[in-house]
Amino acid sequence: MRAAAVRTLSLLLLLALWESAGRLWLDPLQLPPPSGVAARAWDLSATGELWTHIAASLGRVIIGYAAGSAIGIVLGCFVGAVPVMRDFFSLPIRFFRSVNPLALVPLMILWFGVGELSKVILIAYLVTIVVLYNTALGIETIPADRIRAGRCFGLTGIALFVRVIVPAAAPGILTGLRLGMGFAVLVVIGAEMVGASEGIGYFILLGRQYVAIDDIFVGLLSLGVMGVLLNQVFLLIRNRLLRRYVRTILYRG
Amino acid sequence: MLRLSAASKRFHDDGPWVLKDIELTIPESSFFCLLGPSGCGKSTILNMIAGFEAANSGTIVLRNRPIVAPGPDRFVIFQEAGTALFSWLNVRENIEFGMRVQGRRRAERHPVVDRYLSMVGLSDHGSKFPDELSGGMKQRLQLARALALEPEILLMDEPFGALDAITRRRLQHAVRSIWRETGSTVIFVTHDIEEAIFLGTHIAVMTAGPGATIKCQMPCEVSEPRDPSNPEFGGFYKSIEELIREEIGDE
Ligand SMILES: Nc1ncnc2c1ncn2[C@@H]1O[C@H](COP(=O)(O)OP(=O)(O)OP(=O)(O)O)[C@@H](O)[C@H]1O
Ligand SMILES: [Mg+2]
Repeated sequence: MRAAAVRTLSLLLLLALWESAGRLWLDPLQLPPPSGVAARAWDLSATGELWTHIAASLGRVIIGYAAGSAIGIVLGCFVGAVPVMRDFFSLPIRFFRSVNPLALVPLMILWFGVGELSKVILIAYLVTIVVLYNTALGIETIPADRIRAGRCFGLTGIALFVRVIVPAAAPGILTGLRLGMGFAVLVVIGAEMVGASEGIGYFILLGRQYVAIDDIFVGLLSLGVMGVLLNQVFLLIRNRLLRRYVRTILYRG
Repeated sequence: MLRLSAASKRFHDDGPWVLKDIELTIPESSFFCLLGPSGCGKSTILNMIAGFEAANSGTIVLRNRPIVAPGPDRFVIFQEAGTALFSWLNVRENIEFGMRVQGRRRAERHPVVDRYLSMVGLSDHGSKFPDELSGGMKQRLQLARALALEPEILLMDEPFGALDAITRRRLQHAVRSIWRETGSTVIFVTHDIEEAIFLGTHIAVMTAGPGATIKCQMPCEVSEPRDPSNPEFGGFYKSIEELIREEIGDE
């Protein structure tokens, strides 16, 4: 309750600061006030233009995220549970973690063209790395006694993995999935700034071409709202459906 | 009967021997307490009996069959209940887990869960999760979870070391009556001489490592009540204390 109040207060203060900055100190052509941006957003959504771009970006995020998560979880399980795999993948993971995915945009376009595929692959690539890393970490940091307890029940191999190791690593896996979602929203914009004909990234780029500052702000705002909402959906699902697996995160048990 | 013969263990090929030629005979249905200086290798012995660690040489044989892997006939009660319990399962589900693994039907499982819940006094807490339990309750849950599988041998590694004196005493009583009721063998590692005499039918004392061995093994036949008010208890306590002091020296 108190947290919700503080969060609302922070939102209101931010809007008030922005509004007064735009009106009192700065040139509204440089920093349009939120009221102006909201009005512009209203117009753009009335014509459906804004929704087209949001839908395009959201679609790419969802497909890339789903693919990246699936690959990341599977590979992460191997890396976390099979020592040979850990050694095999440790250098590549560290290498790819330090290559900014935006640097890969030109290569993706050369390889996969300017269409949807290159964009989705770029998102999936980043999500894979984040999910893989956290899944493997989640498995590696399971306390030894917890796995030993599972072995006392007579569990070995796949059965031990499914019934004990995966649920015990769930907090790590879910952390990876949550971070991965954030990264997907971050990187989709980069992918859309080259060779796209719709999407929020493309829309923001158009705003620069036509010097439509309002539009740029509408794009940025949509982006932030999309990230926040996706995170909320994620937390809702996690805390409702998967609550038992994240008790250690929620209650520090 | 569980028998360790000339069992030796080291963790690295050219490292020092942690355990050297361990000879132990643990009779069926005994309450066997293992005492020894810190770091001598008590947990390592337990881990070998559990099947988590293999001996480098020598044999560990349970009813004429060598121990090669963990199994539900030997269940470990770990010192840290919080990490050993399954945090994603509630109290009932933790107890039920082993029976599910064995593929026993729901109708079969529920009465067993109820029975062990009440045996350890957790009947009112069946739907709580481990993070909602106190340390003593967690340890009782660990016990119930193991008992539900009716293991031949319970391996307990200083299970009450982290508890306050009163809870500790209550759990000692609980373990003792459960042991009487179930007839399983208990192998109980502890630092605490008083605890060993209170609980044990047999006591073994280890030498200090490295290369620790069993210094001596004896039956514990102190008459009731097993507490310091009984002179027999005090005499036995002194003789064991002396054995351990020889190992750690007077510090
Ligand atoms: N996995 C391991 N790798 C290397 N050395 C180990 C390992 N486990 C235990 N040891 C060593 O073996 C010796 C015995 O350890 P162990 O844990 O069995 O002692 P303990 O008698 O249970 O001690 P405590 O009473 O403090 O619990 C110690 O010297 C320890 O350093
Ligand atoms: Mg120990």
